[in-house]
Amino acid sequence: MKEKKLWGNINAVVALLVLLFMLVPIIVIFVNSFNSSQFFSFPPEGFTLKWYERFLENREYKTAIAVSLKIATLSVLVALLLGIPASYGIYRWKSPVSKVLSSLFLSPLMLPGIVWAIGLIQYYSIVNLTGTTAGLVAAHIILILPYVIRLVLSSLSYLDFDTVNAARTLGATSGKAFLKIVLPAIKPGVIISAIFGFMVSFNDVTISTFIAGTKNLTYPVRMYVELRTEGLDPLAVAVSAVIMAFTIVIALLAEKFWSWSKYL
Amino acid sequence: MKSRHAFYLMLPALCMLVLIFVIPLFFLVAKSFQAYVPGTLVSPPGFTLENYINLVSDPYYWSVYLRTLRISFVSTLVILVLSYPLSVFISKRKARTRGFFLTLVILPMIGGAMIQTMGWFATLMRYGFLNSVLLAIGLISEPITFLGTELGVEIGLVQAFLPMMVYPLTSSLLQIDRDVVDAARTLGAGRFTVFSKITFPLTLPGVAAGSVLVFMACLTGFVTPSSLGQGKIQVFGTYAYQQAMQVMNWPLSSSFSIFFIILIALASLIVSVVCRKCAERRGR
Repeated sequence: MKEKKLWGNINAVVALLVLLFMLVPIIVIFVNSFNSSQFFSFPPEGFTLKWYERFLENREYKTAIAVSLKIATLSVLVALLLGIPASYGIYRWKSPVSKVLSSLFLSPLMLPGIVWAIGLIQYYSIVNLTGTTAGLVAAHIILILPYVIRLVLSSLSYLDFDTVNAARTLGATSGKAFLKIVLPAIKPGVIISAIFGFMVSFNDVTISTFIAGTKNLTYPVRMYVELRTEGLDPLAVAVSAVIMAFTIVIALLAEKFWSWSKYL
Repeated sequence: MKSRHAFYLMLPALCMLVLIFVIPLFFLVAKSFQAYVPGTLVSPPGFTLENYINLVSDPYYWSVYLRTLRISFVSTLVILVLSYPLSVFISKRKARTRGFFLTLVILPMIGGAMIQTMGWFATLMRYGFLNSVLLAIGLISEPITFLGTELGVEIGLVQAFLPMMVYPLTSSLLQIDRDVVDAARTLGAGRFTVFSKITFPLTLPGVAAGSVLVFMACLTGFVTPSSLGQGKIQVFGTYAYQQAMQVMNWPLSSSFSIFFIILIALASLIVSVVCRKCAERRGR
């Protein structure tokens, strides 16, 4: 028994060290966002809130974040509007065709984003979508749609369809049966794919760097360009810290209320 | 429900997918068979195999592919080694705590690649967090160069894609029947025997699923190698980006990425055939 406890403890120490490694970038960003020095220094030279103040005064970053928020919100809404009916169709239509279609819907997860992006810039340059909000939203919908369909389908697999049939027999219209029975059943899948999809769109760098052009810079693209050309900017560190803080709160709430880790 | 109705429900999503996902792939393939004229995005009409012949014959492209493969292989192996103890630890917690730890693990991923990369940049810089700590405790006397090296890129990749291994691994650990392990222990099997004969073989599906996800992500990653490699570590993603967005050589970037995908597909086909043969032999 003693030996078992010892091994358990060793395992716990190693596991927590790996977890710490996972969180190093986040911790470094939080600590350094309060550093009064213009350049990175550890230990920090002094405590300051000036980078946060500069962020609040900085128009470029505020615009970039607004662009990102707008694109993520629109993309999630459209992806849900397209994805929920599509999943229901796949669920209801038990035929080889729907199997093929469902793997087609999930295929963007298989193909590396960068390969698709190289085709996308060529296509967008012809249909004049490069650098437009519509172009970015359309591409982000494709990024989100597979998650919506996968998560909604997995929620649907718990739905006993006899309850829907019973409701129909008792006189409910098919629309009412969908609203009262199907929708509540897929609620966790919808909520979690909405949150996860929002994060995917809000943080996407690869696809957006290719098609964002110069006018519609989302915040991660702006950060990427800056980091590659000018190196580390304390203002960008403060922006990252703010966004990370929001992300942590959202992730913990999603876990507390919908135990989302089971679905991811 | 009539199949026609089900199809109508899928139709809008299907149109979106074809318009924005499938059609661009046709453009990609078509462009890879066209010639490149410097200074313009328009290719002269006509079909050419020149791009692919160049790719096969020029050792530079092979060196980029090989470096990508090497970095991805090392990162995947390290991820496997690191995620095993973490997954074992997580799988032994109660459901609620397990959820909390799994959320912590995925946090970097949903926090976004850019924020992680920036954090690593500050950590791995010449006078960044890691070098400051190592210098302060006297482990090194000169700062180590991490940025612009393969090591730096690998550190970033390991942290970026570790969750993709922990999730499938934890779920296959959770499926192991405790009674099997207890029975083996009762019958006198040691800790290592239990691990090598029971636990590890039973988690192989999780290990395989995680490894494929992680390996593919490493092979085609772009943000991490670009930011932490500082342009000095040319891998698939950075070279494809450079040719597509800076040199504007779309025929090359298209054929370069298609050729890479074909190589990966061939390699995975060979690996899966070999694995099946081995499994059959062991099964007999």
